[in-house]
Amino acid sequence: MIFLATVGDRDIRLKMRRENGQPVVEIADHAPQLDLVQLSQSSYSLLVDGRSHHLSVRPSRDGYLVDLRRRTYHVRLRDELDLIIENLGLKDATSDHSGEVTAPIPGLITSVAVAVGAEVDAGEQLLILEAMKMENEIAAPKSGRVAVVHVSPGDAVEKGAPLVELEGCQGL
Amino acid sequence: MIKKLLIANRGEIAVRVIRSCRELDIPAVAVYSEADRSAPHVLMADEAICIGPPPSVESYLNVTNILEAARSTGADAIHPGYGFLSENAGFARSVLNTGLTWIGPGPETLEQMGDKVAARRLALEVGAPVVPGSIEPVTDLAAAEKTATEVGYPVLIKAAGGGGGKGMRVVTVADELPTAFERARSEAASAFADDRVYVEKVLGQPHHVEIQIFADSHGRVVSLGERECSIQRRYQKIIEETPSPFIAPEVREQLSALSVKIAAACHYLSAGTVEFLVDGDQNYYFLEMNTRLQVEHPITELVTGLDLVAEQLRVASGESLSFDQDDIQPRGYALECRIYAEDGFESFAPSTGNVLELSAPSGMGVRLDHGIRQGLEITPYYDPILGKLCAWGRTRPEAVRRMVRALEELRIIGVRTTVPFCMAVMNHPAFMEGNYCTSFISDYLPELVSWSEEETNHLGEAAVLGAALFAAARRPTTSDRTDSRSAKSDWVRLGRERQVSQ
Repeated sequence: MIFLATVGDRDIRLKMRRENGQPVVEIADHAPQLDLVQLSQSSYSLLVDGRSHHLSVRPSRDGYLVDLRRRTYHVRLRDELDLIIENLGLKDATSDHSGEVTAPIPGLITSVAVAVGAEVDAGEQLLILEAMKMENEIAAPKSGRVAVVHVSPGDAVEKGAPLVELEGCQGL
Repeated sequence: MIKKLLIANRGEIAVRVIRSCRELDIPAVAVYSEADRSAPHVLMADEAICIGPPPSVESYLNVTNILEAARSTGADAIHPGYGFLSENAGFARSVLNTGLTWIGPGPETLEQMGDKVAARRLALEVGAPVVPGSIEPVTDLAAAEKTATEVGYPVLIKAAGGGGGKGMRVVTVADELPTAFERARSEAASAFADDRVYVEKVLGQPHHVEIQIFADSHGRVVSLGERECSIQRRYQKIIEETPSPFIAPEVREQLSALSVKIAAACHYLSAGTVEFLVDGDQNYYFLEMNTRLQVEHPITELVTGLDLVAEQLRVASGESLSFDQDDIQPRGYALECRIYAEDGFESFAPSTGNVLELSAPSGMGVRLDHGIRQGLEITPYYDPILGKLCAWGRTRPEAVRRMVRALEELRIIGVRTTVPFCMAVMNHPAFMEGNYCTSFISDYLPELVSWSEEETNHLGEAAVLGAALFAAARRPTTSDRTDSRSAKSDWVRLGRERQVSQ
């Protein structure tokens, strides 16, 4: 089976098969000698042609997070069918067109400056998100009307949590 | 001597204080918020008392509950650590009025040196130059604008009631002043319960150099040498070292002598730090005095061989300092990297989550102080410091190499930390040469965060292989095309299940 692995902005073609129940991976036309041993829930030892890597792998929303040395690699693995579907443009445009403002970092909502129905200009303060004692002003990305306010002061929010929804935004 | 010590703090500093208690055979009482029930300082202490809900105003800043915890456990002394109530004169006074011993300088000293205006006045009296800025705290925007115009932009707005980069904003042009002024006041109010701020001129290419002093109640004040703390982001230190690779020997002596004078003039007791800015021409200016144990005290301990917390407990009990100035002969070089729950490669964005894995470095010349454990949830309620990694060497290059090695050994998985960023700093030529000032991070940020060829290519491939094998281990062994969608959906489902369970 052929996969396209995307790490950073780099695409790497992988061929994967099993021999005697063991996975064999071809990367850049070379099938390195591989050995993966699980050390703990998230931590693994990987030998690649004898080179030792201590890494952590966790599934993420659309792939895997791999911690290795100084970096966290976000690896997406897509097979041929995935790529065909994407090329046909069948990936629905779920969130990109909405006026949803999400939390850029996890934190606590300390104040909300807008209410439903309010007209806001681009750059106008919507609310204050406090994370680890630093106050961060969350501003409207574009002008529009506040349709929904998902949070109130005192709420703890995760990164990416919806905060406010704007409607009637030009270009959104 | 103290019979039982309550530590009014959390995280790595609470753990640090408990360690000295153990060695001195003093029972330790931890206090904790509901968010910290299973934190290491609670696990390590002899007794632990819940002092309220997660927000610090209701727990670690809750004077009533902390004093009640001391009363109910029979503690006869309180160590405040750093941050929270450590420089709060009102709290110190309440502790003393309750008949307990306060580990730190007296309330009058806290008041005088905590009031930055009074501190500057005192510094001037003993002959220490100060940075140009507002004489009195500014309470309204007009006053802030007036001072800023007088001393000239860029200016710094600083909380009058505390430090640590909170309630602090740099303003480069007049237009930015109103917003920065409001944010700084609001942050200062929430962090220190004091919304007064003052305005100070920003110096060009400055070094942040501080002197550790120690004073007992018998009038002896000793300087334990300096720490260079110029590697900062958002005006918060991230890497410190001693001795400073920058200051001249005569400047070192002058700063030490002035710091001892300042400490004597404010009738200091216990450990304290006098902070200076030193410009590129070695002109120095008194900045402020930190009237508590500093985060970065371990590097001073590494070169002097002293346990500053144990010394604090002894002098608080009325004992004389166990050393005098002649005994202080710092040996070698020590570095500290602060481990924050922040992604150094993404503008130091805070990171929260579960510590899936923690593996500590060890070996010669390495010291790790931390307040986390595997399985601990890092919450957004408190300061993001998770711990501090220190390394000692006979020479500076040896200490730097050892630090790199120790940073490589330190694995914290589950939350993003500043470990990778600190590694990038250690490997930067300007840092290796000891040639840096407080603008180091902003000056070199692009190269510090850039990916090396090895990281992009070789390690990138290893990461891909790791992910592929991880995935393969979790899918059915058949590999024919018709089955691959369901097999693939297994991977996806697994990913979702894992996310839900986390």
